[in-house]
Amino acid sequence: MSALQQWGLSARIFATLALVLMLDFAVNAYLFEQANSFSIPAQEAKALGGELVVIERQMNQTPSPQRAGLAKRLGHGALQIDWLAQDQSPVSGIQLGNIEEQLLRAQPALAEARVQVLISPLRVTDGLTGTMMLADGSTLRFRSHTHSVWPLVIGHLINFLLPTTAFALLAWLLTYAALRPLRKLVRASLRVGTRRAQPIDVVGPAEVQLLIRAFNSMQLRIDALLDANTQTMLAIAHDLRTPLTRMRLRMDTMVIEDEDRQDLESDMAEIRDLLASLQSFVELESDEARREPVDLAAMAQTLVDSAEDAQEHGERASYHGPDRLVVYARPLALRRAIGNLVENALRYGGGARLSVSGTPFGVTITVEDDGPGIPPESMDKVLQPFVRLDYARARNTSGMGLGLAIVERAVQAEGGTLVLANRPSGGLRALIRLPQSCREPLSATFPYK
Amino acid sequence: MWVLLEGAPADLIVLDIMLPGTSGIDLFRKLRRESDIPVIFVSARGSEEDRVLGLELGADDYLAKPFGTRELLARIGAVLRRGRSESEDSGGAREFRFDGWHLSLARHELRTREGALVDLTGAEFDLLATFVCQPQRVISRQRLIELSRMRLSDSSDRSIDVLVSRLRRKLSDAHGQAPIVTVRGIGYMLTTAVDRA
Repeated sequence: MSALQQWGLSARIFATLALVLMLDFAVNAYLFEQANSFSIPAQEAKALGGELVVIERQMNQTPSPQRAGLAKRLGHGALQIDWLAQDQSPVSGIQLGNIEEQLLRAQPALAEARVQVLISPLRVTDGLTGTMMLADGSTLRFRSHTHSVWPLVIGHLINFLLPTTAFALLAWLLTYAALRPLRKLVRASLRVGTRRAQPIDVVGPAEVQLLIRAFNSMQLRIDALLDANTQTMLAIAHDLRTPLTRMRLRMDTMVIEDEDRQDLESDMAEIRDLLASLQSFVELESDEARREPVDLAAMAQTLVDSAEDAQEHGERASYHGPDRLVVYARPLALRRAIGNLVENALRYGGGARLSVSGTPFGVTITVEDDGPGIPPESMDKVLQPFVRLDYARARNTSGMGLGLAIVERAVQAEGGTLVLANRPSGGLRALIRLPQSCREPLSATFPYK
Repeated sequence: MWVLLEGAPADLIVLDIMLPGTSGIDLFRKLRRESDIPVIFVSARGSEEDRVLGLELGADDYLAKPFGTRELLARIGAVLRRGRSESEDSGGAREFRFDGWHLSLARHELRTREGALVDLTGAEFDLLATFVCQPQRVISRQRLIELSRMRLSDSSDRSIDVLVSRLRRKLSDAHGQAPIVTVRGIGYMLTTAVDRA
């Protein structure tokens, strides 16, 4: 097996081809031999032989110039006759020695004529083809369409096609097996970067083994890069907090103008928010928290109440829905997803209406606002991390453009979907759909996107 | 730190989880073996798991960086005050069961009988904690307002009545009945018995 694995892809394909060709050749040679034993019923052999004797005699008695015309006249539906002045090479085909003998046995007079009976593998529907020599050395060609030829023809057709079909199938199977590691590779490449690297077994033709080795090391590099990326972002989010805290504590004891203090405080708050959003974005990626029962209704009310309490300009947030609705989810991820939508609605939409409802298909969570909505051409962009629309910039709001990206990631992690749409009456509607499985305790865990 | 503590006994320690050279958590475990001095954890990692870990270990509070002086002072004040009142109110209990509910001060969470997590705002949580520490006793509105003011991190100036009604909605059963009743003219009362653990 290991010797076989050393073979290259080209060697394998070549070997497959050679094997199939050789088998095909051997089987055809055997069938060729078998063709000799084909026979037609004795009665038909006798009739055909008799006819041929009569024709031979008539042709021999006719001068050459008229032979071609005579041949045409002698022929009929079941037996076509052609006369050829020169001895042309016989029609190619498989010689049916057995039938030749049958004819000779029926009409010994044909011995002189050196009758040859053939069946053409390329034109099996022509039936039996044969040649016989006239006394002066010219050739008579005949084609017989006797009924009894048909089983012969069909048998031959099957004999001819069956091995070829079988070998084509064999060739396909062998090639399929040789390329199987490649398909494995394709499936594995679809998963790169989505979870821990799963190295692929190094098997298959030499070229494929090389490819798998290269792929495995690439996978490790990509994972290391993603890891490093996550660690970097987490380190930034963490390590800046300590100096930021020192700054704040120091500022509290500094003697500065009230106005400066307020500006500094708001700058620091902004930095804090940016770090927090960066952290939650990265943490979602590595969130391995278990799904547990959560009262979604209480979560929604809490988010609405806290968001409204924190508003400085009196924007309203409201909750519509049941007092209790238990789902199975990662509470932190779900809280962030809904929280971000409510916060966005308050910030850009001037108010948030959060509603939660259980449906036969799962749970829907809707957040509506009365803001300007999202320009249709930017709908896709807003879900990408680190993208902020001009409107958000113009409003001079803080943020890194991670809010909706966080929502989408969190929702997808729960097996749900997020749909953003502008409402016909103005404003944005964000709709989270969680699958029915989120209401059952023993639901399968969803693979992380 | 040990030298310092022996020289001048402290009322409270503010401890950073990530210290150069040693882990604040190890230090905390060592500290707990020797004394019950209140500890507030401070951490740059503001994640929920860290907060829970810190509180589960037995820290009295957890503060995520960055924070300001006022916030720190408020938390210190709250912990000190709680330290004093807890000894008489709850006997140091950190887990409570009442009417099918499970309130954990350590994990800072409320769960239903079936184990479902029920989110509360910070102010609601503190209010509920006050109720379960003094069950079946009328607590005056004035006292509740004072207690809620202690929590400066919550900038809510909503009245106690709003907080109580929110809490009731979350605690209400299928018939809309919550275990908190209004005692007209005086305040509120948690009507059920509380199991402490």
